[in-house]
Amino acid sequence: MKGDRLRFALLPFTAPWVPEAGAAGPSGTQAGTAMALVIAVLLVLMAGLALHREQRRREAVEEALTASNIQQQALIDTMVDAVIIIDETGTIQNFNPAAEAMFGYTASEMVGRNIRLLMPEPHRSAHDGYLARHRETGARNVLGRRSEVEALRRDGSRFPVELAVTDMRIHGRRLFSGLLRDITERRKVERLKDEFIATVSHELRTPLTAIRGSLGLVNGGAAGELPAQPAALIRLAHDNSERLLQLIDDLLDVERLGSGRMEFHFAPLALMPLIEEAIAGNAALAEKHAVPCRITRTLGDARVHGDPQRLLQVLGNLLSNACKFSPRGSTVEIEVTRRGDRVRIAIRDHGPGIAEALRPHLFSRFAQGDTGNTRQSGGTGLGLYISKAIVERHGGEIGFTPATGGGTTFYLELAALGTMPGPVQIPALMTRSNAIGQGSRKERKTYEQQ
Amino acid sequence: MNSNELERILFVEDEADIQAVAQVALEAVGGFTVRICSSGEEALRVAEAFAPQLILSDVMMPDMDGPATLIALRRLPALADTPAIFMTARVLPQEVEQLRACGAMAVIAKPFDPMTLAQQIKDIWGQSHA
Repeated sequence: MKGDRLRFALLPFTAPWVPEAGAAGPSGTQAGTAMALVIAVLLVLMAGLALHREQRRREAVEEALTASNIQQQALIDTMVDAVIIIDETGTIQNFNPAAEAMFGYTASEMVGRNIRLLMPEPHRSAHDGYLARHRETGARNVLGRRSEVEALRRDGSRFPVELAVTDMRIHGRRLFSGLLRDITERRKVERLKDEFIATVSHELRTPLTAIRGSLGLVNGGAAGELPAQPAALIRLAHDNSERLLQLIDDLLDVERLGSGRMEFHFAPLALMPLIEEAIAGNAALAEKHAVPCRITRTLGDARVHGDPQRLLQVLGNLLSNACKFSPRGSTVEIEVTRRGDRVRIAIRDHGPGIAEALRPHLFSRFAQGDTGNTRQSGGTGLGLYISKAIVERHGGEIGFTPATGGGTTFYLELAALGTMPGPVQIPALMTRSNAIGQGSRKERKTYEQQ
Repeated sequence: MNSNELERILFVEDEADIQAVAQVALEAVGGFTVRICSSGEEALRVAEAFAPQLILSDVMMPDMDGPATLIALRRLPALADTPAIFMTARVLPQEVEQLRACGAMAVIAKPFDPMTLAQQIKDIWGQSHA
């Protein structure tokens, strides 16, 4: 198209000098000139039209761009969250109405000033350093993820905010856009929830301890022999009081896991004694169900890095599940093997296996098998969920496979100690709990250095 | 019966119902002679006259908690060396270490099993008096 237009434009200038066969007379030349003139006018008109069309197109694009800008600005202005855009030096470019309300400054006061003004110490002094470090090394301290930080209002009061920062490049200029949400209320609610849970757990546990204790004494014959029927009823009440206590403990664990407040005390551990301790702890239940647990393959020197109490909790949970769901007189077999740089503890039962429909949800909260069976077995539906979270905090893996010849094998894999290159890996979740400001001071420091 | 046999236990616990359960567990099941105190203050009043061989105390109590009670009891000459066991629902290894540092020779987890509590105490006693 462009080529065509160019050729037409050249024609008026070339035409008079082009010798035409049988058109040598003056009248022929005049007619040719008039013709060329008409063509030239036409061409000018066409070019004008093309230019006009181009102009219209540009205007349309500009209109669309303006509309998009207006829409974006409107979006930023109406956002519930504060939006602050800064350049590479920390100078504020945009300060939306939510930010005005949050900090007590107007946009006209803040645009052109440094973002440091909104930060309490030590971040106020350190922020230029963060930006400089990012310019030089590309270090992404807060970029691309949510973090919780403290902010400073005009009146000098501090408040917690959730912060998400993204970077963008416009006409070669680097800008950072920060989205801030005041989480003062959320923190308050979290604190209330913690207090509530602590109170409930204490207030529930104390009377339950007395109930279970009393029933345990009667059940154990400390108050003399009972006739068969009352004895059976007392046993029922006793078993259920134990189940209630277990449920409270599990609920507390779930709450601690959810808030990242479950404490772990990692240390190097010999694995086999730990497994034997778990088997001993489960002995009463194994006896009740007539399903003994036996180690069929041992790994004498295996050592792992873990929290002994928490690992006992996981092993105890797997062992008690295995016993509860096994037919009387069968055996639960425990195999400990090495798999590369990991140790694998496999616990095999001879139960009915796990229903197809339940398999994808087995490790989620309140996952229960056949409701009737679970009620009989006295499960809380939280054990495997808690176990999975604990194992993941150890950087390990937990799962199950249908066993050949019936039953299920639950397995647990943990990094073997002594074979790992370099220092022991710190489980990923530990750093996550720091991000929400719950970690210890030492942990938080690591987070800031990230 | 030799002189090392455990008989007299001073039990400090603020919850009346837990007291009742522990009393049966220690007296009826375990065969001990038990003096129950509802607070650290009461323990301090009766300790010298009762002359216990063992102090068994709850940790979380209003006013004087378990460790404070033990520290105060230790100031009484007759109880300066009396072995002590704490009972607590919080059994984090760190906290157990702190309680041991207060002078307890063992920590028993709550809720305790009333049928085996006495045996548990006898085992701990036996280990430290072997």
